[in-house]
Amino acid sequence: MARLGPILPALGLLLAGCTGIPDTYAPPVQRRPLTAPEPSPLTHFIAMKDAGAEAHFISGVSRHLEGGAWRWLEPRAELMFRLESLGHLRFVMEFAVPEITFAQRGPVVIAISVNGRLLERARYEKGGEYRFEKAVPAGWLRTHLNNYVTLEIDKPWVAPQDGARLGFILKSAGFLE
Amino acid sequence: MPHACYILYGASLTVAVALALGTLLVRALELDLRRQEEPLVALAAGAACLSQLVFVAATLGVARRGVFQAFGLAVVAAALASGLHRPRGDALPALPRFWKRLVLILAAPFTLLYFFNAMAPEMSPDGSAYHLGLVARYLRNHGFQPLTTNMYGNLSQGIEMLYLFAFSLGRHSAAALVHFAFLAALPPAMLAYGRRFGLGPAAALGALFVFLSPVVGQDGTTAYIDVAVAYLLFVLFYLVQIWDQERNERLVALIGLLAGYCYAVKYTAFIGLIYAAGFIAWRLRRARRPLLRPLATLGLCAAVPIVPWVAKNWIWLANPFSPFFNRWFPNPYIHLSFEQEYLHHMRNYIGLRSHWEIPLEVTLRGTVLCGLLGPLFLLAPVGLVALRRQTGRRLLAAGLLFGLPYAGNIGTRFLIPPLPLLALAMGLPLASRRVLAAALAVAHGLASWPDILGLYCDPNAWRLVKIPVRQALRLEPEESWLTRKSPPYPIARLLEDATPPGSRILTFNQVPEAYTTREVLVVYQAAFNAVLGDILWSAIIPEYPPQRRLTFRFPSTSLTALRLVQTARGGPDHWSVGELRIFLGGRELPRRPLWRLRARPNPWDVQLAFDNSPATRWRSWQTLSPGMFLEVEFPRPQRVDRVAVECSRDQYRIRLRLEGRLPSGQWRPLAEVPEETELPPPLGLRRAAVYELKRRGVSHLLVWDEDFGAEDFRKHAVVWGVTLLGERNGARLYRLD
Repeated sequence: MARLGPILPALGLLLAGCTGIPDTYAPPVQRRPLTAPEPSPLTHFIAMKDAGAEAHFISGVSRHLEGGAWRWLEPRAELMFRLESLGHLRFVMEFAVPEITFAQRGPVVIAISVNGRLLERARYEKGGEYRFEKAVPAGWLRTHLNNYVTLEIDKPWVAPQDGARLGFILKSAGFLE
Repeated sequence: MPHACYILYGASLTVAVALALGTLLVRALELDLRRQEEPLVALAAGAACLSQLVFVAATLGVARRGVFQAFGLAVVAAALASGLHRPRGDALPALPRFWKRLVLILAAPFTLLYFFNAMAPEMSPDGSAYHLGLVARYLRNHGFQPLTTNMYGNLSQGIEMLYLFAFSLGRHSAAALVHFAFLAALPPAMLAYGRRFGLGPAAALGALFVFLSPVVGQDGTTAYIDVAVAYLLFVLFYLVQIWDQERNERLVALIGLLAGYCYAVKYTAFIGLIYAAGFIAWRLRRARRPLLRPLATLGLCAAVPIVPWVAKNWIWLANPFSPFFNRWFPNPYIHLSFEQEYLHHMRNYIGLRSHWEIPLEVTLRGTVLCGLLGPLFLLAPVGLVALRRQTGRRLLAAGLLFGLPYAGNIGTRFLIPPLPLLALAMGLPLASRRVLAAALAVAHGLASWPDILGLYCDPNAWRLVKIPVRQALRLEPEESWLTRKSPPYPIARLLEDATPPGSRILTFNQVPEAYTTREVLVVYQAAFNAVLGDILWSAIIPEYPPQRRLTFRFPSTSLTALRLVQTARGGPDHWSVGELRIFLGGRELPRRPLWRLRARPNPWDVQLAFDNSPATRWRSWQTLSPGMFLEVEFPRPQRVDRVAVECSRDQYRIRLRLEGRLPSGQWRPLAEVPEETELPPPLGLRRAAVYELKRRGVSHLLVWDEDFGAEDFRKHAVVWGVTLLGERNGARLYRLD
């Protein structure tokens, strides 16, 4: 078998060499245009911990990443996203309403708007972690311009330590299929 | 003519032509065979000749019913005219009356059982999926066409060539009846061997042990090939023993032809050639006779059936032994990872907890390893007593050799090829105790009869269950029987009914391709199909799409080529790259047509890393090893300062390094450690995946309810862009819109 070691690969090369299958190729047809000249830092979905997350904040989002994963929102926060396609998208948001805030403000209603249109007004009766997702009509969205999402809570929570007016905690948000 | 007559006509003409060609060859070689031996040897030799002729017809594109029929009738007419049908030669010594009666009484009901099952509509899993699926395809195309999407088409198909002849005249059941002919000829061949070498009673016992064995009956009545392999190997052994007795040099030519045909029938039966060459060389050496000429004759004659199959694969698939040995013969058609996984699965059947379970599984249970030999074979160690005799040693040595491939596939039917030799060895010590031996044979027959077998084997054991006389004679229509008894059959008919001719259907499990004219791509059966599966799953499995970006930054440098090198070793990870992007000054360089892309391994898919599709990726399709690379060559020096690799998360062990080639031609490292960032899940993956499938000619998707992702297709058909066309027996057919 040891003697066959060098012979078989050589025979293989000899045989394979006769088949004319190329092993060098040109770039193929591009399925989408490249993001030239400078790729947009905006994407369609962000986790608060992502390096590029801050590029998506317009207003009302804390600059401080807490616990390596989440950020406080002010009572009204606005984010922006960039989409490459519009069909069959859902707005998805992972967030939390801290239990401690309920003692002060009770149940809350969060209004979610996409490009100025109200997507949902959702009521939360108790504290905890939540995932919101709802299909967004393709006609509300656009591909060549930014898409704006507004998150507004009806009752702010006033932090006892510094009197800051806060909304709720956001972990991730954006559009998914 | 009623359907049943066509079936019998197709099978009979095929066997008759094989017998005629074989007899012609045997008589041309002027071999001194006995009267009972000649037709048995002729069947094997003629099968080799007919198979070769059908191969030529398929290569020339004239594999048509009319051609086969005209040729077959002409051969049979010529054989009759020249008296080939008249027996010739001295008779073998008669079998003692007791043993003759025992064989007749026990074999007769099983012959009926087997005949009617072979003639009943063919529904065996592999027979209807690929043995006859390929045959039907060849007949539609009037011969071979390059087939790179079904690895079963790469195997040698010496028996399938006979099936092609029979199928053209009598369709599926005619092919199964050809296999039955080998099953029916096996006991007479064993008896003839016994009678020639003075082992009649032992041979009678051995023949019964084999013929009544449930898995032999099940296999030999379908369009599988294992019993034919057993027959050919046994006749080869028999001829070698005759040669040892007579030292007729012309016999070596026939032995060579048969040994080569064994390879042409099944790769693993190549062991027959090793046996024949080894035995002849050993005997000649002991007798101090020249070796070269007999071995050259053997080799040259063996090459006749072997070379066409090797050449076909070499020319079309760049691997003469495809789908194996892909490490030595790298090619775009079979992934190395598939070969490794396939071989692993063949050695470790799902459901088998330990290899210690094999003896009970192959003798009593019959589900996990697909079939059972019967409890009698728990006594197989009795055969070791035969070691005391030279004949026994020869039988067991050949049996051991022919059984070696079983280590590579532990399914019960892979024990069939050495079974005649083992059974003869068992018969040797038992034959002297006539009553005990007869009792064992009767008990084996009773235990193997379907009604009794069902009392002790696993309920789902692969076995015959009844004598389907009405179905064999087509008093019950084929369609009705198959629809009732074969769950995959209606699925094949769904493909036929709901898709237009020329449709290409991607699926995850094999379907009875012998019953549809549509092209079916099963994801595991070829590299092309596996890439389609990878594309589809990228939309479902979170670890598959590109959600990692590895960025190499370095001072702007003028380069003539860039190479991304993988340096880690080990499994189970494969290396893959979704997109490789090259930047200068914050701007991605457009991919120019004059760029040249290379990869190692799997250079043939390198474009998948440069197509800007989130659904596709270049993949090594083998576990990590240092030196794997992706390379871009520029037509002229190009300044570059950043390279980004977008890749999936299912490859935690990869280690990457970036190298560049300076205009001087020297390669140098550009960056060792990339920055890593997370990317969000790409949008539109499902649509992108379907788009890529359609680009590759796939028009439909067949998904079983238990397939991975089946629920996603059901729930999100609109998102995928697919339309449900129909559902049969838990399989859903979607059209890609």
